[in-house]
Amino acid sequence: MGAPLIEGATATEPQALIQARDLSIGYSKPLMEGLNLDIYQGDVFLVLGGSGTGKSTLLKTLFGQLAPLAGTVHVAGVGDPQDLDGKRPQFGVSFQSGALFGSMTIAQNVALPLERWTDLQRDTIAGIVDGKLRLVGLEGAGDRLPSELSGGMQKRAGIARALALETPLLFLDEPSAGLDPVTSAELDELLITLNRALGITLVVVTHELESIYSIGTRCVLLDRQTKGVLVSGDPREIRDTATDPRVRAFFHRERAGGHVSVGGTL
Amino acid sequence: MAASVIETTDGEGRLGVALEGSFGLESAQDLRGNILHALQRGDLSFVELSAVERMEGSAASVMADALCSKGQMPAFVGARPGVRAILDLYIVEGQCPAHLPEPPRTPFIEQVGRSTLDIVATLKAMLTFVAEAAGAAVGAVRNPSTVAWRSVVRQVERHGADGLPIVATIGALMGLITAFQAAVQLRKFAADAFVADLVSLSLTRELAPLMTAIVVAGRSGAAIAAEVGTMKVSEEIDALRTLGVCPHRYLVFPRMLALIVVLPLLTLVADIVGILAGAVVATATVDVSFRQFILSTREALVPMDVLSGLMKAMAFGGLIAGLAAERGLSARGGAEGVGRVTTSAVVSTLFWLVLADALFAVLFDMWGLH
Repeated sequence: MGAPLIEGATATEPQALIQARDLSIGYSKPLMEGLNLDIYQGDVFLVLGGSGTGKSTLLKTLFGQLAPLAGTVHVAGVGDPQDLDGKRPQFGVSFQSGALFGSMTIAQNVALPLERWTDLQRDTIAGIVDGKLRLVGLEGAGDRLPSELSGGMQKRAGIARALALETPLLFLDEPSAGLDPVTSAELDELLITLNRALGITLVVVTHELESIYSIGTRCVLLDRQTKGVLVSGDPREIRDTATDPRVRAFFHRERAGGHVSVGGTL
Repeated sequence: MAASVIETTDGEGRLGVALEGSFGLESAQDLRGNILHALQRGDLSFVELSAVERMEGSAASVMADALCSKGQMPAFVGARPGVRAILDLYIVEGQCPAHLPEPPRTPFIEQVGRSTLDIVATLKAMLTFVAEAAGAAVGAVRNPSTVAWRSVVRQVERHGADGLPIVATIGALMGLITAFQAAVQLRKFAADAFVADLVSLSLTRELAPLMTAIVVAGRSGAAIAAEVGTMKVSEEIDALRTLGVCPHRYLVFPRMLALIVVLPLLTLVADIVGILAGAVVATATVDVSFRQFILSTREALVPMDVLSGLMKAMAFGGLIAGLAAERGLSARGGAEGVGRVTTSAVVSTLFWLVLADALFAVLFDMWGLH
């Protein structure tokens, strides 16, 4: 599939694209402590866990928006993701809410990084933007303002913008949350294609079971109580072999303490 | 990685292009140029892709866009699986991406009509707002326990106590300026003794209430509009309604009440500080002692001078908070919408303040208060 995307990485000898060592994350109090992660080129790496466990916080720490409370993050070809200001982005980020610029149309949102970081002419950029919007199913919505779109459409526009610079690494925070099942499945398919055809490495926060099995090649399940990783590996393997009740509860959508009958109005 | 576009023909002599190498963002511009160039020779019937190692989405969409500039999409042949997967994502085989038609221009008459309707709608919204705010006030009087009194106290602190330093400073400067001007003019007529009259009357009746209101409009009016506007665009106002909480009673009324209480107090502070500053200036520039200045002030001022100023201040307070909240509630869109209503709140408040002041001048005159 052509030359390696990141210098020093080859197909035969995988080298971690993102390395986290003894990582503590959180805002003032640590949510997770002593995390060690290796994300390899070509992975679709899923960060799993219940709400409030620190999935998004971990993602933000990995792409450098949030400083780690302790430990280090190293991204191949970038170094410390925290000193990125003013440099051409080496990865794309899709935020949970879409995080579109409200005063710009959808097309302008997607075009912004291309105008900033390439010498391409207007027509060419317009062609690329059209393509990205078609890719996420927003054909014809380019001239609309974010506020005129539904939440799911905003999210897809955010993904189109994250894809604009064709970086070899993408961070996605809950890409399919809030999307209808059909769109969500289409999005999964898109992510798989990006990963397989272009070798783009994906780091995805999600809790959608379908997505987990259909796209994930590796995952970590975070646990709030132990402030660490409960289990890591191939999601399908974990589903079939896990014995830990907490892991089974997550992967099989079971209630850890058995069923509770409800005897009144909720 | 070299990327090239070669014009070629197939066995039947049909024109086409053959792509070679890797295509990404860097080569997108050349790719477009080369395809457009090839198209000048005639219609292309195929694109040979067997020598393409890698094609990123940007190149695929630029290629499709350029190929379709004549309205028809040639066939793609020989693409490797990886390249084919990307093409399938971006291009529907044999079909050109649809371009949006240019939005039709709105005729002048229609634009005028729309603007007029907008103005009518705004006026209607303002009237509705006044009615709802009045309803909230009546509800609060009838049922005082439903008012968020704690919020009122917090608003009083934010818009009153916190604004004291700037209001006092402006008040002092107003007194100082008036005293200087008065001293210079009155000295020409040997009427130095009347500096105190001029300073105290102009401050209490006009300058202090109006200047304080302007400062508060810039400070608190903008804050209220931005706060309520942000709540509106982030659906917090809608959420309040679904919880059965009236945003007028919960958000608007406490702010209006707070400013109605606070503005006269701030005005009073501006009155006092302004007169004291005037006294200092008068002592220094004309032949009036500090004591004399204060005595003449007491003689010149009747309680109604101060009271009329404070009455105006109450009305101004309601006006500032009401307009700011109304503008805030009308916010639409995102961050830009909030900015727009904040500007609009401050500008329209300033306009209405001056208009209301003029109205008060006429009313006070009619009631013989001056």
